[in-house]
Amino acid sequence: MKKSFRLLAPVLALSLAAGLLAGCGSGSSSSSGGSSSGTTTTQAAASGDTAASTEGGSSGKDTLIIATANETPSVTSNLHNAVAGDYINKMTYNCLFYMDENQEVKEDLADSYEIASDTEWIIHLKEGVKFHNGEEMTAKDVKASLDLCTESPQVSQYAAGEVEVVDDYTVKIITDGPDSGLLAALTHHGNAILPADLIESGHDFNKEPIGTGPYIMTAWNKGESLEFEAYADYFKGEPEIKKVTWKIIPEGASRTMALEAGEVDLIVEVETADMSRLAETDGVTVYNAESTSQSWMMINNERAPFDNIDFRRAIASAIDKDAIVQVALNGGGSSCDSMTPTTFPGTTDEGAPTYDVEKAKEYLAASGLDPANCGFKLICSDDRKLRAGQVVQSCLKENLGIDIELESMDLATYLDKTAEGDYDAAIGGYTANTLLQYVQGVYHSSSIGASNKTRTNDPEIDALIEKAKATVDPEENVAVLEELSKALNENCPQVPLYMTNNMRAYNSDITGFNLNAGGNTRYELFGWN
Amino acid sequence: MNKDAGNTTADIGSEKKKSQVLEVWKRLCRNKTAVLGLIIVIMLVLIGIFAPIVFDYDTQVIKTDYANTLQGPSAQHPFGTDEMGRDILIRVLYGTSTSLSIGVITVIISLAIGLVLGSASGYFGGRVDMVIMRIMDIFLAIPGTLLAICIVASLGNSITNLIIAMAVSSVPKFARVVRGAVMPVRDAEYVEAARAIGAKDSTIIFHDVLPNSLAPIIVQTTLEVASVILSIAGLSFLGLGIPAPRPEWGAMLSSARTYIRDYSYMCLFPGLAIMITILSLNLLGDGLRDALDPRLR
Amino acid sequence: MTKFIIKRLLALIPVLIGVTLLVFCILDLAPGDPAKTILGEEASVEAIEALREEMGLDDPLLVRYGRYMAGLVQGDLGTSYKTGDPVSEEVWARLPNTIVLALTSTVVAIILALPLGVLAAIKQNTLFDGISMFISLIGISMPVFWMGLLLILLFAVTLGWFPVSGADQGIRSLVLPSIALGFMHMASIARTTRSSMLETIRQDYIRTVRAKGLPEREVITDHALKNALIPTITVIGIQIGQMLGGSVLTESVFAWPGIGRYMIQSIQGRDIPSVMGCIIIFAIGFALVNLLVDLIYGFVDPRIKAQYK
Repeated sequence: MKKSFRLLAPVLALSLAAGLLAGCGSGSSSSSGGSSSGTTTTQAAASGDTAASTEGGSSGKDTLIIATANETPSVTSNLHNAVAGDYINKMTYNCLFYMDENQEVKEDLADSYEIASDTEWIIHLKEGVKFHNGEEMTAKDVKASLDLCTESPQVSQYAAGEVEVVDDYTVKIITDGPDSGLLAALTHHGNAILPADLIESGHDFNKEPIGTGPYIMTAWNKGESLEFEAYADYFKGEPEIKKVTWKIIPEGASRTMALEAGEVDLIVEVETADMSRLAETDGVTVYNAESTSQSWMMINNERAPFDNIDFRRAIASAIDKDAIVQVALNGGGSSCDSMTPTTFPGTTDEGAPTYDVEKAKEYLAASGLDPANCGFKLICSDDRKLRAGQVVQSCLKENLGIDIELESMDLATYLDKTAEGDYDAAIGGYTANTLLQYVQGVYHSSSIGASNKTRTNDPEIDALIEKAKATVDPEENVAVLEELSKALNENCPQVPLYMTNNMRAYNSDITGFNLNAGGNTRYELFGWN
Repeated sequence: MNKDAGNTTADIGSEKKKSQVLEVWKRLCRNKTAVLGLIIVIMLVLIGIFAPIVFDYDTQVIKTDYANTLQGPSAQHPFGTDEMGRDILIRVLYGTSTSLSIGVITVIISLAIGLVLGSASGYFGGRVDMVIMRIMDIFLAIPGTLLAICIVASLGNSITNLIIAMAVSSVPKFARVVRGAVMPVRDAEYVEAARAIGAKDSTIIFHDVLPNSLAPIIVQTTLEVASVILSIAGLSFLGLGIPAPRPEWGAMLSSARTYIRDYSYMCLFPGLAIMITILSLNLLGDGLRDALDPRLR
Repeated sequence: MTKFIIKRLLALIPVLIGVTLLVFCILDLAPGDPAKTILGEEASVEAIEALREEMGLDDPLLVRYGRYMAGLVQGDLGTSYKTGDPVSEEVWARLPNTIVLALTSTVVAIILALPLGVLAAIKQNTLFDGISMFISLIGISMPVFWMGLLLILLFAVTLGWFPVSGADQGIRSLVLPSIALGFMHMASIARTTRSSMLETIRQDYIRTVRAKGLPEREVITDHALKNALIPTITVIGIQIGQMLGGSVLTESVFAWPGIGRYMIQSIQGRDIPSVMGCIIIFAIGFALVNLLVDLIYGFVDPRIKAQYK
């Protein structure tokens, strides 16, 4: 027997050597050392949770575990424009303003503001706000932070303008012409306030995101989780929940099961197929309401037959959008006819084509085009879009006799081709915080070559967008936007399909749950029942 | 194998070859598992040929039917329907033609290239061998699946690109096998004899060398079809293979994954189809190896 | 011996240069624009321009390759387009997960395969032989991602014994992925063990030992197994190499946070430096495993050891 063990030695040696490879891997890296110890903390927290919830009375609980599908590319505020990153930024940073539950702009680090002239905004800061490193937040930090946003391509489209320090607690922002969208832009994570001296000294905010936010990041275990601890000196009071973990669980079914098993407390991206199952689960609350994110079939208006307005209206009237919501979203959304998101004030349905097969045929006749020559290729860059595309395909075939071909493509190629205008049609979407941001990105001619993928180039629409931007008075602003929305509906530059819903599922014992249409949640308001 | 065949004239060789083929066939037939593999392979080929004829692509294979999504197996749909209401049985059968045809085309291409590179390398030796083999080493230094993933991701999802990717990653394997098979034959007496009478190098390679080193090449070809089909399924599973809506087993499994909790039947049949295909090709390949060269066992 | 290792390591250098050039060129063909991919659907014209310039994407291929290689020589794998962090950090953070998975699946494979192969050989042509060889054939034929799905279905979804995916539950998380990956490799190892065992048993010296009257058990463990293991070790080495490739699929099925999955994500995000980093790590790992196999080969078989000079 002794001898036979020796025979295994080579096998063991092979394993050991491979182990050495692993060893040298973790040795030469600083972050992976943290990662292994970090993992155990997560586990402890997780098991602590399950224990607590099985005991029943979980009132003493002060941890929160959030399951999310996507890992943020960065925890800095300025080097990404990812939704997953926005969620994390909102934990550690504050902006001058924030969007409240009703999607209205409210003061955050700003105390108040006044409009000095068409292009000058005076912003007074809250006093006594402390960064995680103990320094007080002052006007010079605001200037440095807003300037950083201007310099960073990833977020520069939310740049405020020129910033002047008036005194320690007052800054003046000078915009490039009147800008009704300024305050909304200031709520974007790109304009989060960071300590000026750390920006200057080249501090690595991706390792240690120091801000004024309710939570301090304690660990980022790449590919696994991010961990946070409540900031005791948070200017709105220390959050009730002391420890928050964002766990990356890419598989939809795994997230659902983790919530059911009590391993996590909240799911950010609920698998639509599991929605009804979760709704029936005891102790789980499901949130399902419209978001500001709209999806359409974008069409290249520079190409025939889409340069024909009657043809555009014909296809817009021939597609059964409710079927798409059922098939592509499993009901997790709502159909939509207007060219802009229905969740924003200023959007109107007036003048927008609706699903009406007879009308569609009339429009097609009016276009003078032969459906047999109007076939096109529709790019679908993921499974959901592919499902929607198949509905579009059968609707157009059945209702108008138009043959379209679905083209499956990866996200990177799709983004490239559609931005360059090298395509016929594609299923895509756009998410914005305000209608103004939205129309500027989607329909303004200056965005051609980037996010204006229909290549809409209409002087009337450009003029209305600029007018909306210049109209600072809220009521007048909405009136201009309504006019714009109507003009867009009549122009029908693309085929709106649906508004996706924000969906969350969480442990019913959580108190203070909040979520606005833009998808922002303030976790510092959470507590346990 | 037959070192006495010192004659290069084709007709005598072909007589000899016929009896050899017969001998191999007899040996193959004695191996029960190999025969089983062969029968399944033939059935799969028949399914692959007839599925596209029997089922209409537009109305039966890819047409969505929202009234009948996610139906469990029934008399009408023996394997059930998928999330688009399409019949899974039809799609699995149709997938046979997708996988087999792409597998075979890929292998033919890489075999052709591998034959040229490998025989040149093995026959000429020296510097030619060194250059070709160092280049092959570079390709072999990256695990095949990863190389294919990179290529397909770069060129974009399409059947042509998939074939290119798979071929690039299997050419080096063929080149190596061919080289290994050619080298021992290179110095055989009959090859030297051919050289002595002034035959051209290409003639010698294709007339004298290759026919006598076929055994390992045939075995490798059969096994490689299996491995290519497996890789295609893997790539499609990752979303990098056959573009939707064309049915492919790996892609079907990939979309079934979302529904694994409530509609688990969706992940059974496409996987079974892959397994049966690979199993039968492996059985046949093993059987061929034994039949072609009993010493290899 | 040392000389042999050094020679082999030096031979690795031109191969790696070839690999980097090959992969760099392949990835350059990719149609997507990394800047647009990073900035996403809402990107503005100016932002795309600025980012392209910042990332140096407008330089010609050879300039970018030269810059990349200049960094690589100093051990710098470049900066991830997506996260802005050094690629080496991203890769090192995930590499241990991949290695742990590869190792445990190798152990699973060996534990299952050795007894199966040896017993099948000893009981050649019995029912046991038939069944065990059938099992290993299934293992070879079953796609690892399907095996993974079935394991998830049975042990995670239905029975709830193990988590569906992820790596956050320690050993519990490791069980299903290791079995899925190990089962596939168990098959080849078992088959090789069986056939080399059969060959060894037929050798003259084994007959001699038997004739001496040693118990059969000792004949097998002390004499036959040692020689039969040589091809098995080669196969294990080859399998570890293949596991690196197979780990991409396994990691995707189980959402295992290793470099295989990271590479797929990076490819989808056109994060070329990260993809390069993963490929280089895979290629080095592959080469080291092969070298190790050769060395162990010598350890087991003194005749081969004599050649390492």
